[in-house]
Amino acid sequence: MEERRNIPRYLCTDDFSDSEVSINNRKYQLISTNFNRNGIALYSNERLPEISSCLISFTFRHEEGNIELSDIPCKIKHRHETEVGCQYGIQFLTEAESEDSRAKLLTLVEAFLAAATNNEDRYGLE
Amino acid sequence: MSTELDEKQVFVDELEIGMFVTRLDRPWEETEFLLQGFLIETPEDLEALASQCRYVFIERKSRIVKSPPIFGKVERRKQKLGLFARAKKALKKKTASTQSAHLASTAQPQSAPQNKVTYINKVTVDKEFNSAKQSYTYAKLTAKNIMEGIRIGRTIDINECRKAVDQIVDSIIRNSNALVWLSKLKSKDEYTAEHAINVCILSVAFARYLGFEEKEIRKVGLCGLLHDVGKAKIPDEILLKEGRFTDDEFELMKSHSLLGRDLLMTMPDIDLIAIDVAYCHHERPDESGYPRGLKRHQIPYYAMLIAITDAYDAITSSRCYDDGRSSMEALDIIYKNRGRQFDEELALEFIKCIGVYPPGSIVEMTNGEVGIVIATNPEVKLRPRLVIVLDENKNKCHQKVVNLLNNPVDSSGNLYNISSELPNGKFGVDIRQYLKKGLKLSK
Repeated sequence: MEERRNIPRYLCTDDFSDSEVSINNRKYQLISTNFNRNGIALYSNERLPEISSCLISFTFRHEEGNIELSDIPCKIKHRHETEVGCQYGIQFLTEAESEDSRAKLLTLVEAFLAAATNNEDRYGLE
Repeated sequence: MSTELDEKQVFVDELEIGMFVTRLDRPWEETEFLLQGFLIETPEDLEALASQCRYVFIERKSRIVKSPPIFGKVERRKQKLGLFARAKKALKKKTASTQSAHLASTAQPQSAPQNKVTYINKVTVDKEFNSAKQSYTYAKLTAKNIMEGIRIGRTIDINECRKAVDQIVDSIIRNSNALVWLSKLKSKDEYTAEHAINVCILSVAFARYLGFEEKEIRKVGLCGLLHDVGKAKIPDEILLKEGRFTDDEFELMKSHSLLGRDLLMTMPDIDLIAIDVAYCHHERPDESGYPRGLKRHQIPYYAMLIAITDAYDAITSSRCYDDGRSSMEALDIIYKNRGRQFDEELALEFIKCIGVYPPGSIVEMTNGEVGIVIATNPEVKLRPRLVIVLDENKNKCHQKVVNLLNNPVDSSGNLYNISSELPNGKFGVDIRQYLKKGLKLSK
């Protein structure tokens, strides 16, 4: 399997809401699993339609104020659909180098998650 | 969307042994039946129905519906978590001597054990490895025989299943690392049989970690081995399909839990909890599971346990249509779904049991070298024992075993540390190949 990412996949903390995926005006609620500025990994019991583009909305709760991102244009890059559940690897279609405010917010969320990450105890169980 | 039974209304005088009753003409609570849904097995069952109902609904076939079925009151459900309850009812008809033996084999805990058994590794992983390989090979053969046998109409040899499970349990009790290591050997061509064994291995290792008594560990192992037995009834064209399933094919795949229940119910000597697990291992605490969309308290404890090991192995396995994910990705999913898709307490315990770098993981060190984890150190899970197989330039090197617990240093004098987990196959490191050619397991 090819390594697809250079930036770490951060575990979405409990401050990260579920993601609302919008496809052809129909909305699906998926569990946000991993995140970085380039994309998000989602999980669901239900399959998404076989369409590669979608819009994603989610909220990151933070003491300095919630970060709400709505209808980010995305591409469904990867699907792993099994009878135990469905995983989706979704790429944000924002221009990181541009003045796109959403790209900046995505980077900010990544920074918060990075700060919250404890490599010695990823799940806070030790 | 969930799968529900398609029902047919039948007057009680038309009922026959072998029919599955899904609903009565009155609330279950108003009858003496302990289960909300059961197979008519004896004339006494027919009499009981005739005396209490005018008509009932029986299962015809499965179909897809939007809403989950409605269940009875919470208070009664504790006694009706599955076939266990029916077994107890059946016991009333038996003699006292057979009763006690039967109860012992069907009673199932509904939570983690109160008095935990502490297990210690009695032998080292390298000493256990050959025996574990034999157990794995035997279990794989058994799993393949089960699946192939069902397809040609043979009944499942439960004694063969128990023998395979016993070998796995014995090995894991001696040393839990060796077989967990072997469960990492995955071939996409033999997914179904290997998945059955891997879920058995992971479930046994998990039950050992939770401190179950040995007899309960053996039950959990049998449940793991047989949880997906219904897939033997799914055509190969679907099981081995490389592309995306159509909606109909996906629903057919999901019908394996019903098919598994039906298959196991034909076996006279089966542990009843194995039937419950085959039927309920895709039920979820947030009621989004299938086939019945049960509530958390309605799902048997062992089914919730197997649901986690099942998901972990499915996510980390390659299939004909996709590559497997790393252990950490699977644990992330289990963690994020705790309390919703998976029982919260069991999910957290499983993550602790598996650890960040389970045996068989491929890891990159901070100096660029690549190693394969041989065994975890329970006290410090981030510092396992591993064998280095690639040097810092990712070239094959003379294999050397390092135990990170001892804070060893590399050739430059720097402390060895793991940087990240790699998926199998990365930098040409395929653990199957290493096992075939020989992997150094001790100094």
